[in-house]
Amino acid sequence: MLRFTLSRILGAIPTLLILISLSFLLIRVAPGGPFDSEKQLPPEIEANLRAAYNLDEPVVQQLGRYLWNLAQGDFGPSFQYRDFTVTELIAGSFPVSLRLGAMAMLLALSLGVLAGCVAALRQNRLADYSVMTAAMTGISVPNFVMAPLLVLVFAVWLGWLPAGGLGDGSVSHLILPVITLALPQIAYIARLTRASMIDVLRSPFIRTARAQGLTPLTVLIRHAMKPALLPVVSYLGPALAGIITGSVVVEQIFGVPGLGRFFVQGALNRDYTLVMGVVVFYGTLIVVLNLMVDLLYGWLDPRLRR
Amino acid sequence: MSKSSGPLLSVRDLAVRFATPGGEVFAVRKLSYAVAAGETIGIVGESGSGKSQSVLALMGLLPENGHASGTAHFEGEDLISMPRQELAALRGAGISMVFQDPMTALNPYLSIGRQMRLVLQRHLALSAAEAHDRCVQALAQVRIPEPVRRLKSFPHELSGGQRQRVMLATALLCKPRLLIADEPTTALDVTVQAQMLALMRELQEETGTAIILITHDLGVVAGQCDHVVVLEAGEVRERSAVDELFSRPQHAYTQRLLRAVPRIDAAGPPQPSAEEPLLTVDSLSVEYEVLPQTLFGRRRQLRAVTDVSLELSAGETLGVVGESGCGKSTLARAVLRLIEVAGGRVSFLGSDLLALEGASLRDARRELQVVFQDPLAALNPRMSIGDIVGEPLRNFSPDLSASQREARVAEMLTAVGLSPADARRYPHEFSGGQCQRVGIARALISRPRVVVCDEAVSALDVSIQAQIIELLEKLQREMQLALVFIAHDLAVVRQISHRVLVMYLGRAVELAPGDQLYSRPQHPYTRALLSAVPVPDPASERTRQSITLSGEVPSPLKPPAGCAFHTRCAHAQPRCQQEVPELRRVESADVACHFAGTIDAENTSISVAG
Amino acid sequence: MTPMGGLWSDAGRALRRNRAATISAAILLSLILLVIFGPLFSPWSYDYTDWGEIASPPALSNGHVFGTDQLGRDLFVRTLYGGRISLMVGLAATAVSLLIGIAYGATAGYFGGRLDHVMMRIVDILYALPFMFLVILLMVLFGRNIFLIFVAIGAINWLDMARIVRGQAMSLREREFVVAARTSGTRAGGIIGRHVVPNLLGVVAVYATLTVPQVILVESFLSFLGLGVAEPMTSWGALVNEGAQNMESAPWMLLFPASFLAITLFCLNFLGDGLRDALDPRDRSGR
Repeated sequence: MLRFTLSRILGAIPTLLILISLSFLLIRVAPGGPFDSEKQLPPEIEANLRAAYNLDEPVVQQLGRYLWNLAQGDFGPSFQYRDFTVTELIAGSFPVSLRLGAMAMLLALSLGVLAGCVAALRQNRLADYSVMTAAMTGISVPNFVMAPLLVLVFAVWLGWLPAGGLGDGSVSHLILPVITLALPQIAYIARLTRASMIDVLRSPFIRTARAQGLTPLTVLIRHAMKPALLPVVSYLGPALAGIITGSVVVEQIFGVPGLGRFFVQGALNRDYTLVMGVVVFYGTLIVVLNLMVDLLYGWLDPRLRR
Repeated sequence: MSKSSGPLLSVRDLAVRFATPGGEVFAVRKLSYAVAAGETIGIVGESGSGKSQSVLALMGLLPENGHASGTAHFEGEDLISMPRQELAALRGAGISMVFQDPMTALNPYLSIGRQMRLVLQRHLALSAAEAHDRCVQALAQVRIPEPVRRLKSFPHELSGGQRQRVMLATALLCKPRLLIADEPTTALDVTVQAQMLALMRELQEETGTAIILITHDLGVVAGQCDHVVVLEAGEVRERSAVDELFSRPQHAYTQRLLRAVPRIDAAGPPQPSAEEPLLTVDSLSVEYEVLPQTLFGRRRQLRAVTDVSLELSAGETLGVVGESGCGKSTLARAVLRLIEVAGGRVSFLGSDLLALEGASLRDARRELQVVFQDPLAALNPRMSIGDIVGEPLRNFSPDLSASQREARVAEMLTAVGLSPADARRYPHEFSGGQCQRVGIARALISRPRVVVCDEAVSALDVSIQAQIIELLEKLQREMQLALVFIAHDLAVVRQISHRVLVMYLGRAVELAPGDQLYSRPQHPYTRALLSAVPVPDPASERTRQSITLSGEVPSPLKPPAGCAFHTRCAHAQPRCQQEVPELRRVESADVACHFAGTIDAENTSISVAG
Repeated sequence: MTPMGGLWSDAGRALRRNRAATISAAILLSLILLVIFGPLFSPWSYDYTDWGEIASPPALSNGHVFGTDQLGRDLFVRTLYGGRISLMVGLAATAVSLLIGIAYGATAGYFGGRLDHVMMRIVDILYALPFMFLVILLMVLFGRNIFLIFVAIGAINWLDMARIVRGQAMSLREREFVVAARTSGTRAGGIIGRHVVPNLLGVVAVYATLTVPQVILVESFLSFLGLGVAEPMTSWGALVNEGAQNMESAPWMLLFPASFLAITLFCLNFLGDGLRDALDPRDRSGR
């Protein structure tokens, strides 16, 4: 297990390095500098600016400096929000996104697994068909379609829930964003759980368990649940990535002051350092979470332990 | 009804039918039998006979589209009409079941102990400590070493034989009155099968449990059962006491079946006249590289075949036998140039086969063909039979016109007992036996001199097996073919082979003419192997003194030093742990044992050589 | 009956039994025809401003059956044009990912060994990159460019395809009929052409069908964020974005493009699912 853990951790390092270098180099080869958007600056001021941002050094040295700063948690200054560093912007807005994402993930896992199990146990019956049709809808309606539709129905037409913002931070403000974020994930997890549960229930060791007289509930929970959830566990990585991407849209539509909204605004304003900072931050997050999922998987499957 | 009198289980007019899109299909019809305490009844049949469905019906474990009718009184209560929950309470407590493949029948995600405790929790109100003791006791009962430690193990950490012992221990946990064993030894090697069968007999004597044994192997039936039911296509063909069945089979099907069973005590084929060898293999070795599982894992070499030599002449059949992991299939693939060779020489028709490349290798392959184990998997599902059989011709005789090729294909299909019209059909339309005929037709259409049959009949039912062997022998006579016949079934090899090579952990341990090898085996492993094969004759099964090997084949990744067999050999001496024995001539056999010729054939004592 | 005919007719039979997939295929077909030929019958072009009908609701009387947007452009024509872009991107980017994925996966899978090890490590590393963010970064840096969208999306999706094809190629390589073909003297080209590819196509077809909706989704997502196609040209994602901004005053601007997008994705997913059940033995229900 220790060897497994170490090799996974070492395996994640090149991924991170490639991610950081790739985004760094992309920025360097991009047409136009960060100061092009404004009026033509006098050459000496531009030179000063370039020196201030260390843009006059060789690219490799800049990359090295960036990596060194990153290791200390410094993402550099924002080009757009001149008074803030990117680190401050991330630190200020990420907790909001995190709260949203964690709630959505929890909702997605509990509802998705439950619906998937019900569908698997009632295979080819009404409950199965309803769950699967709902899941297909969840997958097919993108969150940027679902979000405005939900707002239209529940906020504009019915007036039950607020249309946007965090307001006083009450639950009613979170309901629509969290549901929007969770819906596609619920759908994916339900489909995944159903498929793997059906597979597991057909396997010979389940027949053995039934031949031992175990009750259907014991068979399901003690024998079938763990193997059936393994695909769900390995989906957790992509699911987290999906929730993070989704929050970009959801925060935009619901006006939630999270990291996703900063990212979109940074992208539209060509705030290179901010965009890159967010890419590196989220990339690292995804790599680290994937690593944890890998380890969890290794712990769940005894055949991977050593 | 009182429990003490009458049979434990009495099945009357059991029928099992399945609802399919094509209508109702009967898997079993009008099956009746009775089992008394302490008795073993065998249900025998080939694939599709309904033997497994008939017991799943008793247990209420039929698939959803299955339906059982009739009665099956167990201790006075009818299992068929019993409410589901009552039946479930009986399963695992009064009636237990052991399945064929212990790898898949045990839950790979739960420890052995946990799986056993779940059964105890369901049926008996025991404290945690009592449950633990009961599990340890059950594992000890099936001769699992270090039972306390084993409870924490997962199925993949055990060997195949140990897994099946755990299955048996779990089945016996609640002291059932009836044990149903569905092909319990089919997935095991023959020496491990012998251990398992002996264990079942011992436990039955201790506990008095009644056993229903489902099997396709008449040899197993002869040694284990008191009564036998023969099923064919869901119908009972015969039901009698075991001696009766083997000595005076009544039904034509049983007679046919018994005739078809290859017997280890039968005579082999007549020796062909000696000729110059077509194929000579000299000290052939094959290594696999085992890639590391993790970043830091070491890359390891696995020696699958070590220093194997053999010769093969026209019209001759060389049998190659051994248990799983002995390297027999790897040897075949190396000779066929399908995998890389680590060392040694292969000369074929006078040329160095290992040095050939490109066009000259293709020319050699025309003379050197192969028939595989799984008949269906060996045929491309997207090609017609005609295209499959014609493919070698297309490559080896490119100047044939399409119509000439068709004519040759038609001729070949007729020769293997198919119709020329079958050329337009596809593999999935054929049965396993027919697919194997197609495979043979493909191998023979280029008129090869040597054909390697890699477990070519192992996947087939006994009666089909006999037909295919007959076909191979016929074609061998007509075409003066040299055959390399690889199989794990010693009886089948006996039937067809002139000479036999026995392998163990990648090495040749004995190479001898068939008659010599089967009547006077020299190597202790060959003897154990032969004595482990069940013979379809109850009388000789009862009297036979069998040499039961302890343990199982070691991992080829960590082969023992010295003689690879010394860890399981009753005659092992200190010398065997250090020195690898060379093949040497004893009588007309070549044997790799330091003490061959000095070990008395009947006795286990050794007269130490000077 | 040719071998391939066997494959497709088997799949066809299984698909026809799957009513949801059949209906999906029919809807998709009519949608494609509508998107291609629909604009020919409309009096307006996608960028024509009808000054008399700014942001008017759907009506038969003025001919704007889906209504118009804030700039008085006919929403029906714009939705169909958006559909052209979305479907085109979907098909083209799928083709890109198919091409890269099959070549890469088949190479790694067929040759195996150390080459496979290295190639798959690269895929593993790329898998872990947050591609959506990198694509957005690309869009920010190099501006909106439909060609870039193809490349970017194709570059994401080929990873899945490569993994699938590699797995198939690896298992096919070990299958006995391929080994038999080698001993029958068939050359590498013949083995790949006659034995490997025909047995691989089914699975590739399934995943291609499931890739199209994914790609459409990514393109719509980018357009929604304002990073996709440039005005006045449009796509479903861009239309949904405009609709979302005006949903209180002009809900039809959201509802029509949103339903077209959702229905298309729905049908493609259903079709892909059905095709998988029909062709991919691993997922076949029953035995």
